[in-house]
Amino acid sequence: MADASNVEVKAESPEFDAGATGAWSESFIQRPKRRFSFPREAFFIACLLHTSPATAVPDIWYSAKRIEDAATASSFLDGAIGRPISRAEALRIVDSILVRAERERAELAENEATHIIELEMEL
Amino acid sequence: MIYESVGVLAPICQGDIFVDLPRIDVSLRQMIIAGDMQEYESTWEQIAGKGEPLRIIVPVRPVAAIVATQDCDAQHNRDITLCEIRGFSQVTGLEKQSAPSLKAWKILTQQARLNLKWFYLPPGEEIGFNEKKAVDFQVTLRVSREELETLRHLRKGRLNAMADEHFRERISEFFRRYPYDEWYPLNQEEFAKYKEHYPEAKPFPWQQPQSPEGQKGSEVPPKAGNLP
Repeated sequence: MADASNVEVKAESPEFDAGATGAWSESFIQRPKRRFSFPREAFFIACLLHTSPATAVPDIWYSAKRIEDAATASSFLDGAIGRPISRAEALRIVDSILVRAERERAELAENEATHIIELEMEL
Repeated sequence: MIYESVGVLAPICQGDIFVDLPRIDVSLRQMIIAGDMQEYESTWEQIAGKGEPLRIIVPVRPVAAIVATQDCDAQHNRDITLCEIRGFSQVTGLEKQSAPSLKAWKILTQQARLNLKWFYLPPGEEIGFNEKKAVDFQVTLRVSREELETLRHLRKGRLNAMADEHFRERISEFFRRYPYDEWYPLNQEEFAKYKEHYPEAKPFPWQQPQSPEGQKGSEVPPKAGNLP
């Protein structure tokens, strides 16, 4: 499969009329006619068209990063951090977090109310 | 009562009352990490420094809430903040205390003026409140504006002009409070009485008995704002 470096090598070959792409080295009038070898050019263009676009080629940097991320996440979870628990235990803990939060809010409200009532009765 | 109906397509405004919005409770000392194959119990302290995004399992409860975000932001910002609405006694703790001297009217007027942490919402059939409610300014929810706009049928109404103005001022007062030790201007005798109710209050130098050598050796209380 051709890649970008193959294309560049072909473009710089002596047989390829790369100079005709710019007007800085010669006048338009005296520019020699571009030679065109149909079978060779057609074959080359066909090869280019047949080649998959670069965006469809697997990005090795992206793939490598994904592997690295996965490794990081795996070591992150399997390390000293966190205790493996079952799904049932996880759900039990989550339920207790909700109950505890609501209980603590209620206790705080009652505690503050007690102060208010004591002061109110004294005044 | 103090509510008014609002069209389904009306923009979201401060004072709009929604039901069944998600209130999430996160525990920093007990965090459940959802792995691909396994759950892990951890603490936030253990995982915070890693700088990695994580998936966690948290409890969520559908609750009633009132829009706290001001009108302009509620129409342009990415997120909208709401404060939870719960039963009046749950938020204030007042009605559970059976104090004969503390009449209902007194709670709803004087205490509502003194305590800046909640906002009283009376029962109202039009909005689905069959008992006294209160906004708890300390419990906030944050939701996507665009997603909340798609759920505008959960909006049961909004505060009328009178209540809305009061709510706007009260919520701004709540967030602009600064912590100070309210006993600082009391004289020694008044402070002694105050301390009977708030034993944790520490006197300022000018509230301590003067020693023969002036204020030498007087104790400076810790940073202000230790009490409500």
